[in-house]
Amino acid sequence: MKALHIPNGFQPAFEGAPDPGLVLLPRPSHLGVSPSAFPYVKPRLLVKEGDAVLLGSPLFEDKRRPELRFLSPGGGRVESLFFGPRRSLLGIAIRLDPKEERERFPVLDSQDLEAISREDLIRHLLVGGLWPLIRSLPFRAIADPKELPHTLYVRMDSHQPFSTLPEAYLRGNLEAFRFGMQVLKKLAPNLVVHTCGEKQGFVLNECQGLVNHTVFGCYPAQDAGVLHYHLRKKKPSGPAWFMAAEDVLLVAHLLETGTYPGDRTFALGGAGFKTPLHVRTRFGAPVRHLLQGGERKEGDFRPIAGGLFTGRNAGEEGFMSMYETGLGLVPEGREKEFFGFLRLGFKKNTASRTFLSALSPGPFPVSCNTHGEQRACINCGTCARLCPVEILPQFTMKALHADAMEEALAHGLLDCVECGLCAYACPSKIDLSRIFREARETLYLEQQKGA
Amino acid sequence: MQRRIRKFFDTHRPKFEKDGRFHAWHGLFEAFETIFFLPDSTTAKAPHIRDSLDLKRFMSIVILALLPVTLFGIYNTGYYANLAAGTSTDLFPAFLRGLLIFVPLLVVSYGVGFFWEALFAVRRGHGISEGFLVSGLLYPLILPPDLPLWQAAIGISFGVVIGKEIFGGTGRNILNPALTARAFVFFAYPGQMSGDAVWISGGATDAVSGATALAISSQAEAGTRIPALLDQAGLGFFELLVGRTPGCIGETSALLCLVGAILLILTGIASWRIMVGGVLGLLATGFLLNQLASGRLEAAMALPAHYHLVMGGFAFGIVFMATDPVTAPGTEAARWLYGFFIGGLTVLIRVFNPAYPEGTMLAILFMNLFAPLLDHFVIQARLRKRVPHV
Repeated sequence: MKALHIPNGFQPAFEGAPDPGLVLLPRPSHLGVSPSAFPYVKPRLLVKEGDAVLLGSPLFEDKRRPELRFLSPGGGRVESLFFGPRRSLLGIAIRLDPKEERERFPVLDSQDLEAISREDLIRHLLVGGLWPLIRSLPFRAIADPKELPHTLYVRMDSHQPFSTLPEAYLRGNLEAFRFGMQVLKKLAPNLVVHTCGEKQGFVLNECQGLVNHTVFGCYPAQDAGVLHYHLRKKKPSGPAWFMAAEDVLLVAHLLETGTYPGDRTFALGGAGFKTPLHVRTRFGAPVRHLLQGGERKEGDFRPIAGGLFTGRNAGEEGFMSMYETGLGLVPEGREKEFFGFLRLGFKKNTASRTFLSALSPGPFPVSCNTHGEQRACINCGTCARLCPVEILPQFTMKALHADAMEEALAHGLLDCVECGLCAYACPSKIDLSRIFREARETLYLEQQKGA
Repeated sequence: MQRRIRKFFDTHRPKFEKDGRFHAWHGLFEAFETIFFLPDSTTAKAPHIRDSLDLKRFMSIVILALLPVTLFGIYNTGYYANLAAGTSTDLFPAFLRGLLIFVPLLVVSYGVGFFWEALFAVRRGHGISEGFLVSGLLYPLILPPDLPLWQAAIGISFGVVIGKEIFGGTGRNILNPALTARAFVFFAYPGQMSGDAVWISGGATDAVSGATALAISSQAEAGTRIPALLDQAGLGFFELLVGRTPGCIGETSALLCLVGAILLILTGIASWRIMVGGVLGLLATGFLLNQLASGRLEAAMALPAHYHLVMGGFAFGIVFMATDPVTAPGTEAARWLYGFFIGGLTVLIRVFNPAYPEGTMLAILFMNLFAPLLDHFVIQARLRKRVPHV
């Protein structure tokens, strides 16, 4: 067991943290997939409206990498396709049949796993539609199956509000998790399975022999990119891959049962829910289904899938995508606060010490309001104090502003884990995250063109 | 009350919107409205939530930290004015007299400076930055009490336009605008900005000398001991620390600057590294000169280093001027060096350049120029340590 201390970061305490208790939700009437939630995937549709699909039939594939297939989370009929600007595919909705048919995939047990070659195993995952769960650093794109990674990082927990707790998703699934880890051992020569150092009790007791790193530190210390930055002593021989422990359970399900996984544990958090908790329901569940399950309050709330710092506005009509296990329901905050900047601020969420809330451990209310207007950077250095991978965001931002990409790369643009803390804390309200995200996207696409 | 103000802004808002008559002035409207109401804008993409700290709050904390020195400065200025005029030096009359001296300067500073800010903001079509809230208060605090208002107006115009706006406005300036303004007045109107006569409103009389500790120190002849001379003039270490001395309006009390510094450091608004670096640089240089004291400047060189902390504007400068984040370096190692050099240069200018008894202003402006270079070296050193990704 190796212990690692991450110096920077910020541990927010927001109202509405989900309780570890688990509630089983009834089967939803619809399921869906959001192709736009997959990084760098250009979908080519394989079905049309009205087609019958099985649980596990392919719905679309990636135009650039057709080996990446994305399967239907349920059996029934393709009811509607949603398109955004320039006919980008936003969502595929499937009405479930009362009795769903399942696509059959090969079944593997522990002995088969010993015998099978790495290439065959990867092919099983590709055909089974779960390969996209494994992503690679630094661009966080879906991993390239032809590469041999240097390290595969598996995170047991995330500090981001609001994410699933291991107590909720792992309880009762330990055997499957052990089997899943056996699968991962075949994929990468070097596995780093890490958990939170401060609250290690549950995971360390239950997963003895599986977890090999404890990480101490604030959000986003549990991110693979942060670990990769702090563990790396010299230029690594191959790419680094990462996935979440929740997703290891899905891989185990696919190989053990030969069917595409149907269930998933979601964390529901935020002030918009009466009782924030964990629910278990179908993979690809509609946001509305989860909102009902968590008993939402009346009001103007934004459903954020995948964490308040890094997630997306899923919309009430949207679906939870493959990577998203947390749904935050946070007030939009469209009100104008009277003399807001002169308040003592007992209940203000902040990473600074400029409100009296700095003296209290929280939790504090949070909303999507920007709490101020955008201004020029004043070089205060708040972002650099928080950055978990020791980039100087204010200087990197200016380098990108001047189109000096080489300089931005030297500053560590590729190390950026897109945690969002710099943009969260910036007193000038500069959207540093967006600037870095767009620069990294441009870089990745250029690199793909060259390859 | 709140509803009335809300209604006022809501009724007038359409005139400033996209097709309204006064759309060009929308920056001004928003600057005015956001004094009362935080904007209702929301985030578009990740991160979906934002910190409650904005620049208004940021700058308000600096103003809060400036309040003790401002109030004391008003009282102190009035006290000396009344003392020279031979009227009552009690707390209330002195404070009232001080207000009559300070408020016109403050009004000119904010009024003229805000005019330029608004002009550039409207012309460029952006909002009015909060940075000037602080610059506009700092500037009158570092002026002598009797500076003619038209000179103050020209000074702040220079500071805002040449010191800041031609570089692109707040956040893009190289030199501290308030200090640039003061430096302009200092070199353009030396008669009103230096000498022994200007530090007391109404002029020094036989009853009270306007000589500052810095002037006494720079005129001391070899062989004399400056602390003894200061004691004779009623400007002992304790008086200098508390600030019951003639000088610029807000700069005299090192003790209250320390109070402001503590607030700024506790809230994390200003860099403690710059302040501590500055004090260390000042003490180290002062101590070094003590060891080398000889020749014509023997008396000034032998002045115990801690006197430099409380004389003149050093305390005010290092706490409120040097820590301006825009013109200071952005990396922490560079902030140490920056502060250290300001402290060192302050002493060097004070001791070796008797034409300018006060070195703080020039030291800070000089180091403003070097801040990007210090950052550059620190960043290069940091980048060498980064391990390549793939």
